[in-house]
Amino acid sequence: MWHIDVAGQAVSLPALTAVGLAIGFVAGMFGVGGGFILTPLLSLSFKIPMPIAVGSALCQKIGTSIGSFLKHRQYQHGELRVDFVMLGASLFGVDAGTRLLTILANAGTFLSARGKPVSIVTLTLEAIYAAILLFAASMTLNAVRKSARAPASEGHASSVAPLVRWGFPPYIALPEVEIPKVSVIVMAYIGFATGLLSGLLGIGGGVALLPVLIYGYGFSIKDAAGTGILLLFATVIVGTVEHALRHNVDLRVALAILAGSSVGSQLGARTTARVSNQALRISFAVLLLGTVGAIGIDVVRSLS
Amino acid sequence: MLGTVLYVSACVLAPLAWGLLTWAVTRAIEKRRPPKPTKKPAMPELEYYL
Repeated sequence: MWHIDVAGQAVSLPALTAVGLAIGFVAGMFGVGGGFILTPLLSLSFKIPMPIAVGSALCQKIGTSIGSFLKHRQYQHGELRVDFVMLGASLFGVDAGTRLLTILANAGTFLSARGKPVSIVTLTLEAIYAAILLFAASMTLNAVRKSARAPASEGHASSVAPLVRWGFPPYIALPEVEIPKVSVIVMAYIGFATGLLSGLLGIGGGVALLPVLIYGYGFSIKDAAGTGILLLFATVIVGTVEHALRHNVDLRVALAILAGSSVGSQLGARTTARVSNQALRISFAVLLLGTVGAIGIDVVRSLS
Repeated sequence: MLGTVLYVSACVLAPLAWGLLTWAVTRAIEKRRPPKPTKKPAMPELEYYL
C-alpha cells in the first residue's frame, strides 16, 4: 500500500517523504533549493532511472520555489534586468538540456570490466554532478577562508568583480545592485548554461548561478538569491513541462517529496538562526563534498 | 544530421540574439525613463532563509 512502482522499481512513499524532509531541512538551513542533492539521491538510494529522477525533482521544485519567489519579490531583492537578460536564453538552455538528456538516455549501456552493464546516462550525469558540487564546495571554502581573514560585507556589488571587468559590448547598467556596466552577451550565455544544467540535471540552477552572481559579479547574498529565484522559478516550470511531455515526471514521487520538504524547510530555517554564518558555510561545504563522495563510490562500484 | 547541426547552431546563436534584443529594449527604456535605485524594505534575518 505504501509502495509505488516507478519504472519497475518498488519505491516506499514514507521513505520519499523522509528524504523530502531531509532535503527541505538542508534547503531551509542553507538557503538553497536542494535539487543538487535530491536528484542523485533519488537515483542512488531508490534506483529511480535518472530521467524520471530529473523530471520529478524539477516538478517538486515548483512547489518549493513559489514561496521563496514571492518572499524575495516582497522585499524587492535582486536585479530584474539580470533575470530579463538571462531568462530568454535560459529557456533555450532548458530545451537543449532536456533533449541532451533524452539522447543520453537512448544511448543505452556499455559493459564494465566485469561485464556488468553500466548506464551511460547515469554515469554522465553523476560525473557532471560531481564536477558542479566540487566547484560549489571550493567556492564556499574559499569564502570561508576569506571571511576568516576579513568579515564579509553585506553591501552592494563590487565593480572589481571579475565578470564586471571582463566582457564584450554591448553593456547595460544594473542600478539596483549599483553596477555601472555589464556585458549582456556574457550574461545571456550564463543564462543559457543555467537552463542547460536545469534541463539536464533537474536542478533549479541556483547551486551554479549563485556563486557566479556572488563571486563573479559581486552581488550581495540576498540580491543574488532574489535575482536567482525568478530565473529558477521560470526554468523549473518550463523544465517540468518539457520533461512531462517526455513522460519523465512521476507526480506521486514529486508530491511525496514536496510533502516532506515543505515541513523540512521551515525546521531548517529555524535552525539557521542558532548557527553562525561560518559554521553554516563549513557544514554546507561538508555536505557538498559528502554528496560527491557518495557519487564517487557509486561510480567506482558500477565500473568495477 | 542536418537537423542536429541546425539545432546546435540555433542554440549557439540564440543567447547572442536574445542578449542583443534585451540590450536594445533596456536602452529604449532607459532613454524614456532614466534608472534610479529604489528604497527596499528591510527583511528580517530569519525570513531570508525560508
